[in-house]
Amino acid sequence: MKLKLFTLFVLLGLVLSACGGSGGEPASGGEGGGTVVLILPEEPTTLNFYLADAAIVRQVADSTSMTGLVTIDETGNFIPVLAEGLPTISDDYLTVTWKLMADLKWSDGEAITSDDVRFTIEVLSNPDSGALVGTSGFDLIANVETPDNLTTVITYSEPYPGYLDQFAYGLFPRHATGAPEEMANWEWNRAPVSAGPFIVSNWESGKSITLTRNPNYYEEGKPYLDEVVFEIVPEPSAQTAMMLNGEGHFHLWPGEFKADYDELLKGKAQQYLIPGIWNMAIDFNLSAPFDGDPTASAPHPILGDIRVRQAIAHAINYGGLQQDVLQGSVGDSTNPFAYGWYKCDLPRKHGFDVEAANKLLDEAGWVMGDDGIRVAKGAMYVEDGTRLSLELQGYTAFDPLQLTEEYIVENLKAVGIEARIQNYDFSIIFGTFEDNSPRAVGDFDMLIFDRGFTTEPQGYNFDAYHSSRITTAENPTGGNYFRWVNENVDAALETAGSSFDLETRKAAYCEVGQAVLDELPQVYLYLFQDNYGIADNLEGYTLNTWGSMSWGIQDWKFK
Amino acid sequence: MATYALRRVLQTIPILFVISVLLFLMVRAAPGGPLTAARRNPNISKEQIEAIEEKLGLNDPLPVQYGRWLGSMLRGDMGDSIKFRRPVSEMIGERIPNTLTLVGAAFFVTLLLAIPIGILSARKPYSPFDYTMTTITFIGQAIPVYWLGLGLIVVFYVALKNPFTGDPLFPVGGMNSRGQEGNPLDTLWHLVLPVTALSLGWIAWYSRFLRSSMLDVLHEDYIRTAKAKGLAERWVHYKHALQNAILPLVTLIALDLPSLFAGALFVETIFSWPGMGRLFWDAAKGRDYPVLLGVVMITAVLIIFCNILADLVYGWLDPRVKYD
Repeated sequence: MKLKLFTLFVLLGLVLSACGGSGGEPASGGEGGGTVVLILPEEPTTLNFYLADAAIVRQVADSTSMTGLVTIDETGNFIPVLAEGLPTISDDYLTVTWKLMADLKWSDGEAITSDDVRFTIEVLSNPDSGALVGTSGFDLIANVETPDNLTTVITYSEPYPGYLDQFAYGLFPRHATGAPEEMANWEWNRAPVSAGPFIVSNWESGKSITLTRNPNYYEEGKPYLDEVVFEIVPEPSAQTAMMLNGEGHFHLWPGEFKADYDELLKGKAQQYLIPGIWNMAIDFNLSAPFDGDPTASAPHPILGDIRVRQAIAHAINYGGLQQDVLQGSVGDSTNPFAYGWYKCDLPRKHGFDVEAANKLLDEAGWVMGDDGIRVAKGAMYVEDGTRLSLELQGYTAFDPLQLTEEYIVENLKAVGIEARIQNYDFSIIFGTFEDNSPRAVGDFDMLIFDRGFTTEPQGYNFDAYHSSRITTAENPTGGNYFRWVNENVDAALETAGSSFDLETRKAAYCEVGQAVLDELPQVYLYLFQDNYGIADNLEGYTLNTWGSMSWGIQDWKFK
Repeated sequence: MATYALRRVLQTIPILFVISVLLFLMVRAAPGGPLTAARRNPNISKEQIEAIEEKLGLNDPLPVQYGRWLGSMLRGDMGDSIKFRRPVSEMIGERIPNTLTLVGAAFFVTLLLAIPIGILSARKPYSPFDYTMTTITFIGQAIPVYWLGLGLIVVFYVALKNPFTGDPLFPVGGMNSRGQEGNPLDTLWHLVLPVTALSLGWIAWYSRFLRSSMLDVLHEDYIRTAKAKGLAERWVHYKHALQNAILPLVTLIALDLPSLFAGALFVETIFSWPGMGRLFWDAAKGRDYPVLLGVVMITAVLIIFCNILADLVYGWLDPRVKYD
C-alpha cells in the first residue's frame, strides 16, 4: 500500500513536471546574460530606502532605486556614482558643489538633472514626508542653487560632516514620483523609475520580485545579467535546498554555520562572511537600580565598584564563546568602533583570566560562599552577607544571544558570580522611558544586546556616551543607559562632532573606545558577521559591509 | 427556518462588536509596536520615530483609535498597512485566492480519501484493511506538519530527480514556475507536496471520526431491523448507516471551513506559498495593526457564519432537528 502510494507520487511528479515545466531554468552563462535568483527570507515592504526600517529593503533596493550621487565601497570610502566626482567643499565647510555626469537618463528615458537633486532635498527635508531613515543633516541645508542642469550648489547653515553620506542612498525623479508629503504613498515606491542597473518588471506579493535590465543604465555594457529574481522563501531549509539544486544563486543569511553549509553544498555553493555592524556587548548599570532615581548619583551596589566589572570582564572566555559556542560565525570585538573608517584596534584590557577575576573579587570584599557564590564581607556599597547575584537581561527569540547568555552564566559562576538570565521581548528591552522599559528607567544590572551604527557614527555615539545624554524623566530619549559620566569622553565626543578631518575624528573616537576599556561601562564580546551563500558559478560580486547582498550587481555574471 | 436563520444572523451583530473590541485590545496589548524595530536602527533618531507615531495616530488614546478603526471598517475600509503602505483590502485580496487554492485542494483531497477510508474501516472493523488504515492514520496524526513538509522536500525535491530531465520531481515551493504563471498543470504540480503535508493530518482525523461514528450507528436498533428485514448489506450501510453517521462530520467540516480563508501558516511557510497564514504571521511579527486586525476580523466573521451554516445544514440533513 505504502509502496503503491509512493509510486503513484513519483509518477504524478513525472507527468506534472513534464506539463508544468521546471522552475530552474538554466542559468545561462557565457559573456553576459542569464537570470540570477536571489533568495530572501522575507518580503521587503517597499523599494524606497528612506521609508524603510528593515535591512531587507536594501537587499532589493540596492539593485534599482538606491543609486545616488555617491556610494560607499567595500573599504568604507565614498566613490562617485551619478556624480562626476566627489563634490567640492568650501573652506568654511558650508558650501558643497555637486556635478552630475553628463547625459544621464532615468530608466524611463528622461534626463537626470540637478533639479532631481534639488527635489530629493525638498523631499528629505520635508518633516511631513514620512521618511524614517537617511534624513540626517537635511534640516541643515539652508539653500540649494542649480546654476545649470548638472550642477547643484548646497549651502549648509552649519558645517555638516555627513554631507557625502546624505547622497549615497538614491535620488528621486521629480517627474515620476509625487508630492513630498505624499511620499509614503507614491506608486514609485514599488515600481521605481530608477538610475540603477535594474528596474522592477513584476512584483508578486509574498512570492517574488523580478527585475530586468535598465536600458538607460549609465555604465556602458552593464549590467551583464538579463534578469534578477528575488524569491521570497521563508523556510531556511527550503532556501538551502534551492541552493543545493542550483535554483538559487545568492542566499541571504543562511541558517547553517559556514562549515556545515560548505560541506553540504560542496561543488555548488559556499558561504562567505563579512564583518557586519552589529556589535554584541554587556552593558553595566553604573547607577543604583530600582531606586526610582535613574540618574548616576547613587552608584550600583555591586557594579558600582570597578573591580567587580573588571572581574566580570576577566571571567569571560571570549575565544571559547566566539569559536566553540558560535562556531566562528562571529569576529572579535573589544570596543564600540569595530569597523569602518573609525575602526580602533584596541587590545582587550581585561582578557580571559580566571585567576585575576578571583583576585579582584577577593580584594573587593567578596568572599566565596558555601554554595559557590560569593558573599559580601567588607564590600564597598553593600551590607556584609549580600550575595554576588546579578540579573542578566536580554531579549527573546534570538538563538545566538541565548547561547551567549548561557555560556556567560557558566563563566561567571566559575568565579563565584551568580547571573540570573531574564529575557524580555525585543520591544520591551528597546522600549521607551514612558513604557517603563527597564533599560530606559535604569531597572537593570547587566544588559546584553547587539548594537550598530553607520559610516557616520557621531549621532549614535554621542547619544550613548555623552554625560548629557543620561536617560532621565527630563531627558527620556537619552541613550546613555549606563549612566556613565566621564569628562574626557564628553570632550572627545565634542571634538569628533565638530571636525571634518577624519584622522582627528578617528583619534577622538578611539579615545572614547579606550575609556570604555578602562572604565568598563560595558564589555564587548564579539561582532556579528553578515553571511551569504553564493553559487560557485557566479562571479563579479563584491561583499560590502556598507551595502546589501545586491550591492554592485551590475558587475555580476555567470562563469 | 428562515426566521431562525435571520435571528442567528442578527445575533452576530453584538457578538461581532464584542469580538472587535476584544481583538483590538488584544492586538494592542502585545508589547511593542510597528516601530519597535526602528528603535534600534542606528539611522533613525528617536524624535523621528515619535513624529511618525504621531502621524500614524498611534499615540492617541486607545478608544479614539478604536473608534477611528471601527468607523472606517463600517464603511468597508480596512485601512492601509503601516509597513507596506498599501490598502489592507488589496493585500488580503491578493492572498485569498492563493489560500483558497491550497486549502481548498487539501480539503478536496481530504474528503475524497477520508470518507471512503472511514466507511470501509467501519464496514470491516479489525480487518487487515482497518488495521493498516489505523496505523497510517495514527502516523498521520502524530507527524508534526512541519516535519512532514521538510521530509517531503528532502525526498521529492532533493533526493529524487526526473530521470529524463534531471529536474527535481516536485518543486520546493511557490505557486508557479517562472514563466508558467496561469498554467493550471504547473500550479497542480506545485500543489502536490503542500497539499500532501496539509491533508495527511486531516485525512487521519476525519476518517477516524467517520469510522467511529459509523460504528456507533451500525449498532443501532434500526440497522439491526433493516438487516433483519433482509435488506442487502450494501444498502443498509450506504442508505441507512452512512446518512446518519455523516451528520457529525458535517459540523466538523463546517467548523474547519474558515481555515480555507485563514490559511495554513506552517505549510505556507515551508512551501513559500503566499497565503493568508503568512500574511497574518508577518503582520503579527511586525505589529502591522491594520493588517492584523483585518485578517483576524475576517476570520472571526467566517467562524461565526460557518457555525450558523453548520447548524442550518444540520437541520436540513436531519429531520429530527427542529428550529423554533
